[in-house]
Formats: sequence, C-alpha cells, structure tokens
Amino acid sequence: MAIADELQEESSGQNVMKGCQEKSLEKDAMKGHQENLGEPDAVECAPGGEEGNPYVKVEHGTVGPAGKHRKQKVVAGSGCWSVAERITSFFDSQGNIKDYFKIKMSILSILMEVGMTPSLPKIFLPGPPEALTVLLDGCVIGCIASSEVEKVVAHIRELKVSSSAVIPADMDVPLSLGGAYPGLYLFTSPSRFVRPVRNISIPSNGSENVELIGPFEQVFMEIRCPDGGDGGRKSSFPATHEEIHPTGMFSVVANLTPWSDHNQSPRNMYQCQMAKQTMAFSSQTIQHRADQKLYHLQTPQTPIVRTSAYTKYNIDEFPTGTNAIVAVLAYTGYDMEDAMILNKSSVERGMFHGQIYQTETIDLTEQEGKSDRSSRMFRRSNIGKSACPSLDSDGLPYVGQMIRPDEPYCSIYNEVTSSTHTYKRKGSEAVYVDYVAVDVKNKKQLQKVNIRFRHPRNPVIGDKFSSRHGQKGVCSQLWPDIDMPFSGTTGMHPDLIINPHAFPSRMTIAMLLESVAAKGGSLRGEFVDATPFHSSEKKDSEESDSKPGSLVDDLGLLLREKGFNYHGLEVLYSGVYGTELTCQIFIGPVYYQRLRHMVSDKFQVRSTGTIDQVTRQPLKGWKRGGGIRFGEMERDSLLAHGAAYLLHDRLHSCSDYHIADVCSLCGSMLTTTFIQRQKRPVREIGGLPRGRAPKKVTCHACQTSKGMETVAMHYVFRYLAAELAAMNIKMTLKLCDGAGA
Amino acid sequence: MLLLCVLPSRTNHGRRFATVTTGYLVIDPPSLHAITAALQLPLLATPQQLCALSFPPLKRVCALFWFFFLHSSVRKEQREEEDTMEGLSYARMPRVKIRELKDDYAKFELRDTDPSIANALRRVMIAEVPTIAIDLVEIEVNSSVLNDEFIAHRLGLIPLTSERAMSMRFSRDCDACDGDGQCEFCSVEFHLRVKCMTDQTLDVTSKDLYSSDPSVIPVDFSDPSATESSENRGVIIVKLRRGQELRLRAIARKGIGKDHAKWSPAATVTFMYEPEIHINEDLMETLTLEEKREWVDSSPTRVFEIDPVTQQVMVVDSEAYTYDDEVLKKAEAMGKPGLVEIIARQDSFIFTVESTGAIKASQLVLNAIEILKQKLDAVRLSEDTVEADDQFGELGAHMRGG
Repeated sequence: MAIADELQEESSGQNVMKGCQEKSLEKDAMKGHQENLGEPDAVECAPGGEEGNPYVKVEHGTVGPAGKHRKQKVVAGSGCWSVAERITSFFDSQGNIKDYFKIKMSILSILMEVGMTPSLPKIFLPGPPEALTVLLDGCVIGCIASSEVEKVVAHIRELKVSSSAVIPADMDVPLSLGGAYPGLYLFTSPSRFVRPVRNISIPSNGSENVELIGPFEQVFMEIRCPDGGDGGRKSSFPATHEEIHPTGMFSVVANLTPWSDHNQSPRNMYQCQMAKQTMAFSSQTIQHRADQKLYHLQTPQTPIVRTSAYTKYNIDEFPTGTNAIVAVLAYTGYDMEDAMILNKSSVERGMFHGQIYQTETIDLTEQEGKSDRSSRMFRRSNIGKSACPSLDSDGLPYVGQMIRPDEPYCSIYNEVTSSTHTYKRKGSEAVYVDYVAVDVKNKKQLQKVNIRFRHPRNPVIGDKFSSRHGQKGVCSQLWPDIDMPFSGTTGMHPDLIINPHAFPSRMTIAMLLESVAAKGGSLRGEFVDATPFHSSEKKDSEESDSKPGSLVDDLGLLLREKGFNYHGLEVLYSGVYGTELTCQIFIGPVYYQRLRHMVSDKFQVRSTGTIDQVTRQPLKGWKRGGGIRFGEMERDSLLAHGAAYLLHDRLHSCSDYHIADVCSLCGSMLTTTFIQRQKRPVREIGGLPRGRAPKKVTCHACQTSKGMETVAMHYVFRYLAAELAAMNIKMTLKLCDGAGA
Repeated sequence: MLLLCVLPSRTNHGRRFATVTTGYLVIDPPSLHAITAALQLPLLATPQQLCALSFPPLKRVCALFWFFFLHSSVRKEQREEEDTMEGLSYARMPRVKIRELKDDYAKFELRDTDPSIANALRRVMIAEVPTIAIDLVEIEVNSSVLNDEFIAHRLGLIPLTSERAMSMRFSRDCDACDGDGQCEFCSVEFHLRVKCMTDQTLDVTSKDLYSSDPSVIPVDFSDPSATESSENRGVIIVKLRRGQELRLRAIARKGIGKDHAKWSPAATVTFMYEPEIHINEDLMETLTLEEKREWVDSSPTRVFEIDPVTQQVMVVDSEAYTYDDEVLKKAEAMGKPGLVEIIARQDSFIFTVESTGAIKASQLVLNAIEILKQKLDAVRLSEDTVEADDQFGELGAHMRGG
C-alpha cells in the first residue's frame, strides 16, 4: 500500500484509473492556465477568452470594465483599439537569458559616444532647457544637450533597427521635449508592451526596418498610415514611422471582423464586445481544465471569409462560430425585431450544438469546524446504496452519469458522528458528470475533489446568436427544413433567416459583402481575404493600375462566373406552398457565432415558492426561485386598464395574502389569540371528513371572544402593526360591512 | 360553417367557373353540394376531417384534393362504372418522365399537376419517408476525447441501409415489445467495441459498427468501380489515441425526418417550374450581333446561345434558367422590352432528388408516393360511418371512396 502511495505521488500528473472512473490530479488542471501566464517568450497571443492569456488580460485591463454598459447604446470602445502586440522578453532571439548588465553598458557607451555627459562622477548636471536628462530603466545616467538630443534619438533608433545587438531591438526610446518632465527615458526591461512599426526615416537597404515601439514613446512619435497620404501632417512634422498595415490600429478582436471598414463604426465596437461573449471553442485542453464555468461549441467551423489577422493569430485553434447559410427575408414574421428563425433540421444535424462545463470543488480540509478535520471522508453511506444509485462506494459519482436536480453527486461521511452528508444538484436541469479529479497530494486520505459537470446546451428558442458585424438576434422559432424556402436549382435551404430590417439603419454593409464573398468562396472552394482597408493600402507603382474593379465588382463577378446572380440574390420557393416567392432573396453563407446568453441559464418562472420570513412576500432573485417584481408602474398599468381582479390577484393573492383576526371591540389585530381546543374525539359521520372545529379566538385586551372578525389583508400590514406597537403606537382598525363604508 | 373546396385552376374543366383564377374557393356546404352534385364531382371529405388532418396551410388542402384525383385515377379500373362519363372526370393524369437515375440521384419531370402536389411530394420525400437510424446508445466505456452525447449524436446521423424501413414497425406502435423498442420487429441492434492499442491514431468509423441484421448496415459510400487500394473506411465517428477505448451498444429504430433530421432519407429534394422561353424573333433581329452577344451574356447561366452560322439567338438549355430575370432586365435596359417571354409552367416540374444512401433515390420517390396515398386514404371515410349518409345522402358513397 505504501508503495502504491509513493507511486501515486511520483506519477503526479498522470491519471489514476479506477474502475470505469477516471480521477486524475486536479493539480495539473488547476495549474494549466497559470502556466500560460508565466511563459516568458515574446508571445503573439490569440484571443480565445482564456483567462491565462496575457494579451487579452491587458486589453481588459486597459480599457476599464467592459460589458458594464452593455445595455446602453454607448460606444464603450472597449477592446477595439490596438494596445500592444507583443511583450518584451527575458530571453534573446537565441533563447538565452539576456544579460542586462551588458546591455546597460553597451547603451551607456553608445550614449557617451554621441555626447552624453555621464552622471557617475558626481558633477553638476545641467538641466532643462539647455540639457535633457537621460534615464535608463528609471535611473538617471546622464544628460544630453537639447540641441543634440533629436539626433541622438534618431541614431539610437537606427541602431535598434539594424539588429547590431548593441542596442536591444525592443528598447523603448521615449523622448519628451515638453511637459513637466522633459527627458529621454530609455527602457530595456522585460515584460513591457511593444508593437512593430516601420521606421521610414532610415534609408531602407532592402530591409523592412521594422522597429518595436512601446506605448510610452508612441505618443511622442509621428507614425503615419500607409495609405500614401500624409495624414494631414504639416511638412514641419514629417512622419518618421509608418504603420505596417492600416489595421495596426485595431486590437485582435477588432481585427477579426471582415471588411470592418465597410461597417458603421459603432457596429464594429459592438462586435468587439460580442466576440468576447461567444460560445466558442475556447480550449483545446478541456479534458484537463477545472474552470468554474467554461462554454464550449461542439462543432465549430473556420470562416470562409476571414481577415489576415485571423490566420496570423491562429484563431483556427479557437474558432468562434459556424458558416450558416443565411437568407435575408421576412418569412412568417417570426424574424421580426432581430429575431431569427433557425432551421430545426440543421440544428438536429449538429449546428450550434454546445455545452457548458462546470466544476464543483469539494475540499474537506477547508470546511467549517477544524475540530472534526480528518474525521470526514468521501464515502457513501452503507444503507444509501439504493437511495443514491448515482454514487460509487467512495461517495463520488460515476463518470458519464446523468444527475437530475436534487440528486446527490457527492457523499461525505463523518466518522465522529457517523453521519453522511450529500451534496445535491440544484437547478432545474439534468447534468452529466464529465470528469472527477481527485487530489492525492494528501497521503493519508482523499480530501479534495473536483467534479466537472457537463450541461448540454443545444440551441433552443430564446438563445442568442450574432454575426461578426454586431448583428445579434434571438432564435424565435426552430423551423423544420421542409418549411424553409428552398432554391429550385440547387435545393439549398437556409440554416437561418434574418429580417431585412436589420440592415438599413445599422448599415453593416460588410455583412452583405461577407455573404456574397462567402458564397463565391464556397463555390470556388477557396477562403476569401477580407482584411479591412485593403483598398487604402499604398500600392506598389507597378500594380497601381492593374486593379480597376471595386470590391463589390470583384465579388459579384465571382458569383456570375459560377452561374449565380451578381448581387447574391436567388429565386427561392416557399417551402410551405411550393410556389415561387415574389421577389428574389439575398442568401449566402455568413459566419455566425453563438453567444453565451442562453435561456436555459436565465429563465425565471414561479408559481409558488420561497417567501420572505418577515413579510411573507415572495423573494426576488433568480437563484432563489423568486418572482419578478410587480412594481408601481405595472400596478399603474393595470389600474389604467381597470383590471381590478388581476391586480388583486397579483398584488394580494399571489403575494402575502393573510387572514387576520381582528377584535372589533378594541380594533386591534395584535391582541387576538387563537386558543387551541382540547382534542375531543369528534365522531366521524359516515366516512365524511370531520368538520373543522370552529376556531376559538379571544382578545387579550378585551378578555372576550366576542366581536372577533376575520379580515383579509397583506401580511406586511400585520407586520407594520407589530412594528408600530414596538414603538408604542397603537393601530386600531374600524370594521364595518361594505355597505356602511 | 365554411368549407374549403378546391377547384382546378388551369384545366379545361376548370374554366367553367368564374373563380378559376383564384385556384380555390371558400364556400358554404349547401352550395358545395349543389356544385358537386351538378358536376358529379365527388366530394371527398368533410371539413372536420380536413381539419383533423392538421395540414396547416390552405394550399395543402388543395394538394390533398388533387392528389386524391391522381390517386383515384390510378385506380381507374376499380371504378369502371364511374368512368362511363369520361369527359366529366376531374382527374388529371400526372405523368412522370425519368431523365436520370442513379442509386443516390434521380432527376425526373412531373407534368400535368399543380405546384401543391409537387411540393407535397417534396415535403414527404424529405420529412416523411421512413428510414432506420440509431436512436438509443448505451455507452459502456468511452475514454475518447468526445463526450457521450457527441458520440451518440454522431452515431445517429450515420445513414443506415433502410430498404426494410417501409415494412418495419415504429417502436411506438410495436405490439411485440410494448413500446420498449428493443424487439426484432421494430429495432436493430448495433455493437461497437474499439480500443486503440498502437501509437498510431485509430479512426473509429461506421464500418466498426456490427449490426444484428445484415440488411441494416451503415451505408457504404465507397465507389464500387474504384480499386481496393483506395482506403475507404466509412464515416468517421471518433479518433482514438493509444489506450483510449469506445464500447457501446446502439439501437436503431424506424423513424421519419419530421421527428428528427437523422431519419430523413433525402439529402436534397428540389423542384423547379419548367420554363417556357419564347424569343420574339422579329425584335431579336433588330439587334446587332454585338448587342445579341451582350444580351446572351447577361444571363449568369448558359440559357441562350448565338448560332455561329445563322447568328440567331436560340435557346440551348431552357432549364438552366433560374428565373433570375437577368435577361428580361437586360432587354428592358436595351430598350427592347418583350424581347423574350419566359413563362414558368405551373403544371410541370423538374425534380432533383438526392438520397443520403439510406434508400435508393428511385425508391425514395416511390415510397413518398405510397405515403401520400396512405395519407389520402386516411381522409376517406371509413366504411361504417353512417353520419356521412345523413349529411350528404348519395354523396356519402363517393366519400367512402366507393
């Protein structure tokens, strides 16, 4: 046994097989994403929604709380603009750890060569405006005459680009001439953000002259867009640098929108927010992860229409959606107001299928009283085998087991009290046990487990979908494909129908372009490049005239070539009637994403349920199975409609309906007491249920049971009376029959 | 009580009515009786029955009527006495001409009938012709990368050869197993046991499924003409690496595409109206050769061509026309409206049927017709209904299909 334990300890990280259950160490799973973070190389990161991704982390961090303002149509701009593409590394290009002392010395010597007065022999340094202080990694190393400094900076940049190794290629060279702290601030440290731009002030000898710049120096630099223009700069401030591509201004997510230059700009912003809410293929290592909650798309696809950034960042490893055949038409009216009709048969064939992985951690060492630590263990109660068939003898569920609501998924045995405690599933849906990971670090006994559940999340009415152009919608119907319109020539029917009204006001032209391009691309079996600002790029002189056609023309001709309508329209037949639809329909593949807002996680319904202990009114809150507030405005609405009965039902019967005994003599409802009668055997009459004994209620104050009345009221009213009584205020009720009022 | 009565829209007989253009009428029962009696038109069903059929749209009722005519005309010899008055029969005689027939592909013309019939046929082919598909999966061991539901779903979508399906029982109607759905009359059992023992990734495919019934096996897509060397291993279910294992038992059952798309035997079923293209030769001759060429090229599909000898525009393939109206718009733009007239023939259709391989395309069409007939039989009154006699008198006999 001891040997086995040791073996287990040594083989930490490998699965410990046990029967049909697999329980591996959650250690490596837990560590997984942390390790990502620590990876020191200058990584070009892909946004996959993984927390461990440094790039994405930065994006979130720099732009404040994203998603807080989702409801308002305020352009938050979160995550749309580029921040940095890489981080500087501890390692050089050979993979060796950088020698920072050597770097510092070489920089120092170069600066001395170009005329820096070093600070080391403690002499008086001239300050601004005659001379500027030079700092390296935050330490003053000397000063340079203001007249010289710009030349020095240009020289350093040249050295930086020339990869001569005397100056690190990723050094920050911010030169601040004005402001409160003019100076030359040099940085060489690792873990700074840098991004590549092209240096055009140095003569290019065939090389690209790509320079890595940091956010500090960027604001003091003149970087122009490579569209051939001067960007409105005066000739006195010529551009020294040039973006490598106009899309350099975009962040990773913004870069994934095809032809975003053809969209109204707020739509691109919405897409940036939405891309983070997609239910994507978020991880390749789901088997080994223990995320609290992880959304996973079962059968993702690579988009037919994609930007160059998509390939560059390897988003194919973490795709976010499906190429759905989208028809733009008003069909049956179920696609009004951004609703969309999904093809039920397509869904049945697996479109947009997905699941949520959710992990529950049970740590016995953490829980409550330390006194009974180690007396508790994972074990099924001996008698409970039949009671909870979902549990194995070790108190843990079987992998693959379906667990319904209120069924136990874990059982803990307390040796001291010899009692068992079971953890039960909450909620309203059955889940599957995906994985059970056990922690075997503790040699004596199993103390910690991770149980990962799988919630199936196949599309249902009410789920949210979006294209890559800020066009989101909710599925309103799942329509069988026989009812979908179909093309007479090809037999295609749409996977998804959206309403034409989604376009005029939003002006997401790129979505239309995407549809046409994807259709052409799929007919030719090719991916279509949809990098934005392609037309604004500065063309080489030779091919400047070779491209006469506009984008639309290129795409349209592609379709014509294959015998389709130039504009992407097709004649469709009604699936219900078999007759030709009266106009041609715009149809083509559009990359659609499934968003992680799903009805199954959100719906709130209540008939009866939990109530507040004090007021006896229904609780609020989705988690507690509470109701939805029927507030003043709703009340006003019903009043205005004269729907008195409904009003009574909502506000009274379904709320804190209470029948109180009121003493009509003293008018109090607090002094009445119900006196329990002695149980007298009442004879049953011929099998009838025995009649309820009349309640005997007396008033304490009046010392009589006369004049007792029952009054229907809100329970809070009684509570109010009690609260007032506590403040020495007596509340009396005057009772009269309706006529007397 | 309103009653839907569907009248022919484009037949000679139909022209007797003032309302033929609408295609259908909504009239009350007495007038219906009058009309049907006068024309000796069999009244086929009571409105209640039509409603009970749960065919949602109006036009479907139309389909129903006409298919009944089709149906009754097929059984002509059984109703000889009625056929004495031949001219008065409203039965149209739809014709089918097969153009192309392969195992998984069929192209045929359906003539002398209405769009509703054609569409009914299309819908039945997609959604109501039964096939067999895996419906229940019991997983014993699954250590693969895909989760249980994923694998079960993939198994369900594998097409199985379903020639047996028409004669098989639905599990829900099966007497032998009390709806348990596990007996030989209504189900087929499959087993799959694969474990990867090598370092090479192992593909688990539909060929690894072992069937309890040799007539129900996963469809083999390999080209019989291709040589053995081309390795065809069927539909991939999952890939296993060393040590991973998949062991399961699956029950396949009969079902229809309406219940789940996996039971749909049709990959594509579509029809188009046959186009009738008339070129206005006189107007065409006013065009120059250049203009003609421009006009011909305006169609994205190759419908017209210029005869290299006579330089006349002629129709080479009228069916390539997709009703895109491009040539009409072009003619309009050239200032020659009416250059060509294109009519969609509402009574002849070109069907394209592609099968998933579960049943042959030809069988798919035949089964669809059979099912349509069964549906129409359900419309007829049963023999022992007396209320029909009370309601309709002599017409009751017609309604019973006598």
